[in-house]
Amino acid sequence: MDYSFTKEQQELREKTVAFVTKEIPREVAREVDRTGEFPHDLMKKLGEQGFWRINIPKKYGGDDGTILDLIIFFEEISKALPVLSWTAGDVLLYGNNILKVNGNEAQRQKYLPRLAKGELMFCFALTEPDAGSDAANIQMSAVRDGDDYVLNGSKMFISGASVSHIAVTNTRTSPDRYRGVTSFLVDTSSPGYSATPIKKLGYKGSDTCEVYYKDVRVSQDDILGGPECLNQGWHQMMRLLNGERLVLSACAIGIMQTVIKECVTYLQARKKRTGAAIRFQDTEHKIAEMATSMEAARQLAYYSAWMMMKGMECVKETSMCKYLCADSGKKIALMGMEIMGAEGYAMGSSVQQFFRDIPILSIGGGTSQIQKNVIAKTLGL
Amino acid sequence: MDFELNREDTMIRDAIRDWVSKECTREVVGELDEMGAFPEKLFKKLSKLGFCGMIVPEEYEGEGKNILGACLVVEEIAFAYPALASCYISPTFFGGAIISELGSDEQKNRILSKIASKSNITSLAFSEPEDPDAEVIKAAAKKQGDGFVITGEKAYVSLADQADLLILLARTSDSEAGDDLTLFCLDGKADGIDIKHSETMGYRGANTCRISLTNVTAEPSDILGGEGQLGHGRRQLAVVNDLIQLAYAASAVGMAQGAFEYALQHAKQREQFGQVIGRFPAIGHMLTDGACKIDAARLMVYRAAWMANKGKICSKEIFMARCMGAEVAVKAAMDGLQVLGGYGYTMEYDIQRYIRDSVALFSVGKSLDSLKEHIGASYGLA
Repeated sequence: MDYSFTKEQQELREKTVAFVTKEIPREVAREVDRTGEFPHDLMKKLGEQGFWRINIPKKYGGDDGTILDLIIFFEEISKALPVLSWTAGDVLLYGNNILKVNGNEAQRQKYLPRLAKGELMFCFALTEPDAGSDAANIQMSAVRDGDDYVLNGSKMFISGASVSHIAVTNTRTSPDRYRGVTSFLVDTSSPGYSATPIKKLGYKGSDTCEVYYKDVRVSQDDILGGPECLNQGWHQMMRLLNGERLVLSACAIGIMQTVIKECVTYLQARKKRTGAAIRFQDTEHKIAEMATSMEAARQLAYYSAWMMMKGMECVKETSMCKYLCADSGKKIALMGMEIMGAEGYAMGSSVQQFFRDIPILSIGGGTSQIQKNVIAKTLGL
Repeated sequence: MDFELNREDTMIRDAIRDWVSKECTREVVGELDEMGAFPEKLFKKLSKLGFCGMIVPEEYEGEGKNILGACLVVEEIAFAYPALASCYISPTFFGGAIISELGSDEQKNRILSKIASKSNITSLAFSEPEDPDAEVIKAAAKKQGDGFVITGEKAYVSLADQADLLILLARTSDSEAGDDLTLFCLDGKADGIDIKHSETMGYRGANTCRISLTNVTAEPSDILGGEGQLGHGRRQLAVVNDLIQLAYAASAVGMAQGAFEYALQHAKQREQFGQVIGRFPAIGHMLTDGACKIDAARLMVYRAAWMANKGKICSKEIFMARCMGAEVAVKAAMDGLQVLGGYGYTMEYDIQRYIRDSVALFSVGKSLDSLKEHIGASYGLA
């Protein structure tokens, strides 16, 4: 068993840390949270520094990175500004990864070089008002019209929907629940496509939207993977799940680490000020528990990533990981708010910002309840 | 043992519940929370109900000493709008209860009837920057002639920008090492008092403030309880603390119930996988677990309030109720968010407000850690 990271992985981490240190001081993170504006500037800088190439295959000018590289990147970014990892996902996940896993050659040629240059962003449109956890219940229709399809319906909670150029849109093309879903690469400048951002408790700046499709026209060539992938959308999505769970886990891990760091700094200052060391034992133990939970979650994430890279069946591990990281994250953030008390409650505190950010991770990407359903199933239940 | 509320308290609860359902609608509260300003109009309406005199003796135009009644009012308001509950706690507990219990005759005459009739806001300026638990007081009241001159900084003072009365904790020791603390009753608008509003995650409208005091003058008669109480601040604080924590415990239970009912309603309407999600045990049991704990916390609050009404010593019971209340309110809000899913995370829905408000219970008045120390002390563990 070798737990060490490769030289390239170490370098990626150092490069990301350097970016975060330079470009995302506390004031910048606070400002994004305050305004709720999409961080275009930071996204541009990430592109300029080559981060969009992380998981693009060498053939298209990329660094050919793996899920572990994505985890490293998402973890380090989330330590400073969690929402930036989500917006980065509009390139790395919904663009690069989806095309890599489910696109055809023509689509990869068309989009990957542009994604690498930071010219494009993609969003992933699945969820609908009546199809959240019950994702297969989607109703958005895609009706054939010559060589085209015409899309009608609405989507909900689609991150990046109003700033992205392409919306990977999941539609119902046949009544069969799991064999009647088709994914289309919809150009968001198409007539009939409109997206309105929603105000949220945290992860402000993610451009999470309500989206309406009114007679939006797409070519059959824009079916993800090509026309032969009609009705394959659900299976295409299944291929993405493990990776999605792990990157969301990485977001939680980054958040947890910052909360713990803030609590340690806070307690050190308090101990120095009041001098009575033993009185703080309970708080010290709380922080010890937080650090332990975080470490356990982090190791499960890295282990699951290793399994995925080895091509092993790892649905159980990635589900456990997503559930553990998200729920531990919530628990740790709550303990952090308790430890930091009045100081943590002020809007200037980073702990309250991270506390508001973390709860969505138990909901998006498959709720913790759904993850537990999946885990139970893998255990034979 | 009679677990029923008596007739008077039942009437109080029904009246305030009815008022809250009419005046503190989701739309009204949502707008006020977004603005983050003191809810002046709503507070004026609340004052007219006359409940702020609940802990003011009848000879000062109050309702007597009905601590349980006051807790019921806090609970019912916090169900819909915790910041408004704080606005109610201010005159009723901070003003009414504290002055009734600890004030000098002169102070009682001057202050109590105004609280009962006009609901004057009272703020407690104990905490200091970097010292939310008021452990090492730096703000100093130096003797000058017959009176005092007070200089220092206070922080985390709820509603200071609205306060008519400021009850302030200052050091009156002759030496730096001494721990003589004194509570002064000051005019909230006095010369030398500079108040700045601090922005917090929740409780928007019941603004937390920072206070700078520069040579604020005070007479010996401004000492809470009169001149004879000079240096007795710590002992008085212990009495004051009980009342404050009981009020917040009641607020916690109200918030918890509000979050719970909001989530319950959603769980009974939202359908996925062909059925109402509340009927999935993963969701349903989460809610019932919360309901059990809220019920327990509520009974603890009522028991403590009953003891306080009877003049029994009940610090331990109050602090236990307070700790339990905080835990239960935060759990109800966080679980509520999980039940509401993506919708719950939006600002349009209300569960996010219960989260932002309930977390204040970790530190409002006193940190939970400090309360646990006190509870431990009552078991000989200090």
